[in-house]
Amino acid sequence: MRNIWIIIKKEFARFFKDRRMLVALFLPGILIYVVYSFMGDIINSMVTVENNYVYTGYVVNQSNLFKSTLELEKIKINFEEIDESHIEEHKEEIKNREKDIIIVFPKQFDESLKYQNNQSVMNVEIFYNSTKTESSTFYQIGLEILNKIESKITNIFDINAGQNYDLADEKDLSASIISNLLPMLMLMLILSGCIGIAPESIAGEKERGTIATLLVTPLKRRELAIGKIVSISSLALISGLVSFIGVMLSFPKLIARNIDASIYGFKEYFLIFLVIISLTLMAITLMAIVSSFAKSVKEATNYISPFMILMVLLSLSTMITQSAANNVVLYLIPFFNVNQTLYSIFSFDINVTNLIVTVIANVVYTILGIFMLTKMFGNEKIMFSR
Amino acid sequence: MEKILEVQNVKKTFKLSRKQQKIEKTNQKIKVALNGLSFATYKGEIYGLLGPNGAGKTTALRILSTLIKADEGHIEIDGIDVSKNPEEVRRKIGFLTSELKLEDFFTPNYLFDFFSNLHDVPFDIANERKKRLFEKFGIDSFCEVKVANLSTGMKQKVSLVISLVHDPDIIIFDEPTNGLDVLTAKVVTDFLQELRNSGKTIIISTHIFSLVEKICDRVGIIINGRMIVSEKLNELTKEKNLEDVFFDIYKKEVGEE
Ligand SMILES: Nc1ncnc2c1ncn2[C@@H]1O[C@H](COP(=O)(O)OP(=O)(O)O)[C@@H](O)[C@H]1O
Ligand SMILES: [Mg+2]
Repeated sequence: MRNIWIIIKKEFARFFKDRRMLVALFLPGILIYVVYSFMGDIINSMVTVENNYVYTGYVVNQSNLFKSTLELEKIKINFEEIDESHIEEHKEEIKNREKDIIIVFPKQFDESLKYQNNQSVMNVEIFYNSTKTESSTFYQIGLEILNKIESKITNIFDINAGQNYDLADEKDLSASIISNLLPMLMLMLILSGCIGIAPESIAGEKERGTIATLLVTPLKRRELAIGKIVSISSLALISGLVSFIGVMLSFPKLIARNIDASIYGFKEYFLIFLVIISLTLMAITLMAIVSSFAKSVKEATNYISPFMILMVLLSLSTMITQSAANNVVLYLIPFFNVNQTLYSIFSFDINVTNLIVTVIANVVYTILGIFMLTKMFGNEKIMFSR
Repeated sequence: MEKILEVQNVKKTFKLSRKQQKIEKTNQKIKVALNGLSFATYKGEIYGLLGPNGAGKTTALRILSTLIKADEGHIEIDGIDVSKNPEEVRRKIGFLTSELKLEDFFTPNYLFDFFSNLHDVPFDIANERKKRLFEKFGIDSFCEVKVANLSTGMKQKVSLVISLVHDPDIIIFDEPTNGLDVLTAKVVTDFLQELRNSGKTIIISTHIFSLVEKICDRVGIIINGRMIVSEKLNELTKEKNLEDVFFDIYKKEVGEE
């Protein structure tokens, strides 16, 4: 026990003293944040109108009420008043996106509103171009203002005025976005954290001849295996966590929508953490075993690649099925089970049996893997091959 | 005289990969590195394992230090069976070879503490030992410099000191002066004699006759994985010097094949 702890402390010290490894630990998270935010900003700029944009277009029979409401809302316009007869000519400019809008008010629109004795219903026409962001945005603004004007005049009662009364929607929406994307994303992040660490820690030590120095001390091979697995799993978990924070901070920007992570309570976060720990242990153990066959870090990374592809494929399952599997036997399949279980937690559809099977299966695989790694460390053909 | 190490009829073969077959210029799949090696070492002496390159010296010392296992044969160190109780053996021995490296990211100071810890040396004793050894080898001046930034000679000094953190009774050094500058080599050989005088048993491998003549009490001549003679140095060199004795034996051995 004591020796395991000594090894863990040394491994941590080693990673935090090696600048390259620090970069490997934290860079993915930082990169994700920067790239996603940047992408989000670009996407946003494509679907939203700049703050100081001046809308251009034509208006027929200008309504002062409409104009003053726009001013109140601080929306800048540069509209040319034209005669009804010229509408057709200017439609071309909307079509080819030179101007944003043509609004056609009925004659004496404002006056007619004062005397609500109209027999016929008046019609306001707004011509716009949905392929131009500014145009369709102004169309929405126009609709909103006109609706407001209309409801002020004929208002009898309001329903749900002024705020969002839809309580279920946001949660469901967040949950559905999260449960569709995050399980896969979390698996990828954890796996890439692992691949940055495991080859270095096992094959790297072999390559540099530093593991042999440990093997001539009274340290048991099993203690070395456990110490290595525990320490590099923790580091991979930290790396995964940093990436996860990066995702959560930049994700809302990316999809231009507020993801509400607070819809999940302590129970969900605890279960997610449990599953992720079991995943990290298993992935690190597998990569450590594969790395122990390699003579160099490079070789180890090459050996791991095919496994990585397999792991990624298994981690994509819910992206395709869009629901969690029911058959409990399927939860014995590593990586697949993590993806499925995370999906069910994120979508508030936890099946306790499947969850327990997932965690226990992964822990059992880890323990078996540690046995194997112990054998590897004791195997001179693997440790000292030429 | 008390026997402290006994090697009986040890055999070790290596499977050769294609690549190795090319390097060794052979088409045999198996390389016999040790072919029934036997010898004994007595308490308080420096034993020199002398032989040409490829004779099997490193292989023998790796087996003694439990890094690899013998295919056949029996080895006892201080009454402990090496194959049955390797961890106990590792507590008793200090092993040094050029292939045991120290991690670049740590300072000599950190490494000494780390290995002392693994050997379960009490804190006070470890500190006192560190002070003494660092002073002796002049490590004090760079004890807070990361291994990555040390010269080869400095690294070797640190490796040597690290192999002694637990003050082992039996010290096994593979080619101890190889690659050292003359000054460091002298510090090492003087130190080995000092250790012997304080009652430690030391086994070194080498292909340098003068080193054996200078510090060894007993010498074993190993050729093609077999111990040809293992005798007290002064007995062996009664009539001829070591070099002549060696070549007489060598001609006889290699000529026979
Ligand atoms: N791991 C190994 N795989 C294959 N051959 C080896 C291995 N280790 C040593 N040998 C071979 O065994 C023989 C003895 O090597 P070694 O013990 O290193 O000799 P020495 O140290 O006396 O120079 C050499 O021919 C060497 O090539
Ligand atoms: Mg050698």
